[in-house]
Amino acid sequence: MSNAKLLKEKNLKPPASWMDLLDPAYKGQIQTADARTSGTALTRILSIYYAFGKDEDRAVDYQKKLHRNVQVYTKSGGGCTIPAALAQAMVCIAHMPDAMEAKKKGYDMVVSFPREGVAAVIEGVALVKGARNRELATKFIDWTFSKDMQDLLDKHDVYMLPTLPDASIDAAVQSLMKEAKLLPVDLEWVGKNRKRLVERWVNEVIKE
Amino acid sequence: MSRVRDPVVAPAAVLVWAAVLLFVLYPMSRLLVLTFWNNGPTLEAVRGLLENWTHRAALVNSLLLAVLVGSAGTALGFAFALLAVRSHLPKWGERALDAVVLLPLISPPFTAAIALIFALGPRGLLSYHVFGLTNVNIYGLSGTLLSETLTYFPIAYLTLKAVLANIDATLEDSAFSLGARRWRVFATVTLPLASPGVANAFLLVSAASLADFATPLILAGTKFPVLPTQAFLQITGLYDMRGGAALCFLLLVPALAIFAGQRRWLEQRGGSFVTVTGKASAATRVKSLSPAAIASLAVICGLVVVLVLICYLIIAAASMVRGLGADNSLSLAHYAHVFSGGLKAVRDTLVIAIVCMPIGGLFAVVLGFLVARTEFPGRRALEFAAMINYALPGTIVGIAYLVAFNDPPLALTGTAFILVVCYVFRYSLAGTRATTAVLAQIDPAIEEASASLGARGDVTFRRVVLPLVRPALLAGMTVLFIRAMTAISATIFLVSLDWSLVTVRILEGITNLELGQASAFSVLVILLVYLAVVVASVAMRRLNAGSLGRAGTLLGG
Repeated sequence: MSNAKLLKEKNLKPPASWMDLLDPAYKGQIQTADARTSGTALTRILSIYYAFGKDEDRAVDYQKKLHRNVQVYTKSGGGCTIPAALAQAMVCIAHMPDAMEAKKKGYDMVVSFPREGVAAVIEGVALVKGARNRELATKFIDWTFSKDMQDLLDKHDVYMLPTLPDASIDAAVQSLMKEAKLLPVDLEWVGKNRKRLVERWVNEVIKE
Repeated sequence: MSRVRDPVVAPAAVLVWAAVLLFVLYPMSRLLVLTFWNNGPTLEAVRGLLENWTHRAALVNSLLLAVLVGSAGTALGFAFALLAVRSHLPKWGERALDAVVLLPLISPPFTAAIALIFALGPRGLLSYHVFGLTNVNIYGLSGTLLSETLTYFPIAYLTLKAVLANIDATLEDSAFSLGARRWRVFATVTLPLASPGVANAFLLVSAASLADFATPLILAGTKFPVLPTQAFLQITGLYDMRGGAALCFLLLVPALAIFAGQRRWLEQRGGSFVTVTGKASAATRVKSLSPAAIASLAVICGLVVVLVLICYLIIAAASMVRGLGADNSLSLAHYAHVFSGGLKAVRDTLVIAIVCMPIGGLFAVVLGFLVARTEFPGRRALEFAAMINYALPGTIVGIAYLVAFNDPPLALTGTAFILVVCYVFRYSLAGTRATTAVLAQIDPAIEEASASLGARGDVTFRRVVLPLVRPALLAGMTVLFIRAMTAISATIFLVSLDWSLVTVRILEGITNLELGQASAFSVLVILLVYLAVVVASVAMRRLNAGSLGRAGTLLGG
């Protein structure tokens, strides 16, 4: 998401490609999350990895260039939203619902997706092994998969997309998602490689 | 001084020793075992850390930051102390100065750091809208240094104010009457007399910086990693308990060194620097500062006061409008949230703080009494051991508790009990110190009189000692309350869904785009703590407790 006022001041269009973010006009103007603490950051790394056709070295190379424009890596995924909303940074690379929430609060933010595509993540729910209230937990999990529950996302402006096709979707989110190209993510591969991807980020991308 | 040998001293000592063993020494030893033992003694965890560039950088940065914040904070504290006690400030002026200066010290964590971004960031209120600067960088060393200096210089101010106020003004007057110029008097009389205080202030501020976890979390970024934040990330982000424990060890060594240095200073204080002689000294208007010097001090301190006030006005504003910067219409929505959805955290925090007060207060007084007035084997060792949790950064204590109390037989994490225990053993030291200070002024003959009339030790303690040390008990309980309201570095590892804390809610608010709610929580904490300080000082005045009621005793670290 970008701060509309700052874009206008610098006469820039909202970034529409991962490559746009390398423009020196964004130097010191991008905030995004730290891969060691934030799942949002991992999604960003995956997005770039898949956008570069799973060429890990090129993806790392791109991130090194992106790093030169980054003002700060925040510890939480949505941590850049308030600073960007209050114009301390022009661009915040984060999850879409954070941007929608900022807009709802009245901040003039523009949401844009890179045309190469982005990775989407699915929120998980799990039953703890040996849980004390197994029956209740199962009931709860079943409920999260029901239309009843997923309709609540729209009703309460959570801005997340329901997984059920017939659940209702926020109109603004629905039109926004038409612009987004979602890249398929191999979750098993991610599970096996997460630690390594984060380590490469620490030891290659942010080391300067 | 005769020391009490009494049948009840032994059980009391055993009880206190047992508590300290279980809640101080046991978790600390578990931490060390985790770091240095893996089917045998090993250095691999520490070696592994030092192979990682971010951890190496964190070690260097932490030490650098501690020295820089220590120096800057002490210098600033000295300037404020000079202004407060050497420039004939009217009483209300001194009070106003105190009220503003103490603000950062009683605030919950994160507040100053967040406000500073909006005051001095690339589009900050001051940096951009007032001074027209663009491309200011608030993240990294510069921002962290500034934020920590503003947060911790009040510790130096409180320490140095007391030191300067105790320097007998006639000494400076004699130098003047011998013909010395102002600067010479300052450099050869005032400064040398204040130098132990300066050293102490430096160590206190450095220790606070070394332990600070909240400021770097917001402001340091990846370019300036520091140890407490790094240890937190290692555990909560990378689920690496051993790595976190090893990082704690790296942090533990400099923290203990600073604490040892500070202890040495406290023990030497009685040496050659005593200028309070008990002899009446002439009432004199000290003139050690020239009007020009006073004016420049006033300007420097004035600017700092303005910066602090702006930061807190930003927080106050954020708490009272719908969406700061987007919809600036007045609204009580954020406060409404604090008292509805946030009420549980407020209630939990208050319950824990209030439960801590009598337990910690009593523990402090009993410990102080045992240390100052009784004799039993291991008394000195107990005195030292009881200080460990206070001396070490909260991150270390929190991680040690997590290591020790997360599994049976002592699975205590997630309970209110562990939070209370954590605060009692971390923040009782102020009460213990106050107790020993009060007892030092009371002739043991009073207790001996009670004993010779046939009272047992516990009766003497309850009916003679306890009433006498009431001010210390009150001071200790106030400190516990303040710390329990504002602490985060240790307890962030120990909170749960069942027991949440306001400070944790503030962190969540900041990370979840709820700046308004986080600000409203912060304002509430600040008001409650101010109230506690005021109530405590009024109560102390009633008890004729003198210096114990001063903010310095309550907040001086």
